[in-house]
Amino acid sequence: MKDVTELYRDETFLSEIINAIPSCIFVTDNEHNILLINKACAELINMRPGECFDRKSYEIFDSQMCDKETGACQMSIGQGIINSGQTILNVDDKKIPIEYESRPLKNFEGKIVGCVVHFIDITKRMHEEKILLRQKEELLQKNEEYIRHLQNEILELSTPVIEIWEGIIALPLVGTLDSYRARSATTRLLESIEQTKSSFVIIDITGVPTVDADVAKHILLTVYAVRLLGAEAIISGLSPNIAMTIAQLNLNLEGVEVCGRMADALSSAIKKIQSRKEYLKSINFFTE
Amino acid sequence: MKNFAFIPFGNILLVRIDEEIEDHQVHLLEAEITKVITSKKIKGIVFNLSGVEVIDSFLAKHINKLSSTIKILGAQPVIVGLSAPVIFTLIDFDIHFKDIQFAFDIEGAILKISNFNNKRELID
Repeated sequence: MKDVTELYRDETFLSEIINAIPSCIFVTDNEHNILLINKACAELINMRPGECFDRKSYEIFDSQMCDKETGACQMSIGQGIINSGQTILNVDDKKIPIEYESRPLKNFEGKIVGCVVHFIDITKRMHEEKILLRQKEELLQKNEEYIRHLQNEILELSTPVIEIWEGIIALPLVGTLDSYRARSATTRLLESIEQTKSSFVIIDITGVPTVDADVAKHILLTVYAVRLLGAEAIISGLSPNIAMTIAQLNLNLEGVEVCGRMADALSSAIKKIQSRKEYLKSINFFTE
Repeated sequence: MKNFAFIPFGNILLVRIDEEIEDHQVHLLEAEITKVITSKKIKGIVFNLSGVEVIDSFLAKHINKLSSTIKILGAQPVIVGLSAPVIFTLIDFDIHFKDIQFAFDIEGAILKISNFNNKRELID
């Protein structure tokens, strides 16, 4: 049997240990009266441990955790379950985010006689998490911008529109055409025609080994669009494969000029431009 | 208020059409154009559609009908002033024009009209 002084020494030693723990601990009985509270916990709410004893936990802790009816303490006392989570502790005007865990306190008979609540101040952690999240978002955004930039670059590289003569622009297509690329090529072509006011467009598909039905239709659609704008399209460099595809699809190439080589297309266009100029001169359209 | 306007230019008639043209206005336009073609020696009609932001099937149908009439009367209809976005809508809605030529500007329109007349002379 230990004598009383020894027990007393043990108790002070124990409370020293509890007070030395940096996280917050308090113990209540079934009526929410504080039986034990450590230094860190009392300091967090600007009190001394001595002031807290025998007061109700919901009076000194302004937090959802200690709510009389629905708080974690009440759940532990009433139902004997372990509760954990995050909530806000209001101290004066400050809102301190905390992470808590409350456990029921049982006596030697297994009856619940109170609860132990342990919680830590996570202000710093929340702040760091927020910074990390922001950095992650920034990084993602930067990456996304970079990828978009690269995509645009590739798209522009894949559909170059060149002005090769006064009033003649060329669209040399190289590689496999998909419908997305074909559409972007059409868009850029129409925009270039509007800008340069060219009257002839040479669509060169020497570098395209094969097309599918959709793309073949799209090329013809491009020719039609160019015509609506008032310019004329010449297709050059049709490969035998593509010619077969177009024939098999029964596509109407009527009224579309097709040349074997790009050079032929260019000379044909230049000839037409010159004859137009001569015609305009002959009817004295612009008297200079 | 009229939603169209005529500007005679030699044997060519320039017609400006606004976007909000209505049914009865189209009939008025048709009547006036046919009157001008038959009374004067008009070889070409140039429709200026640069003031139109969207060509819907309604307007396209009327333009097609008008063009057929003009063609029967022996003149060539030409549309000028289509912009790239308008053309994309036309393609997306699968709207087609028959019997009509297209040009950038009046110069192009004159070329188209005279080519047409040359061909006709050849056939004659």
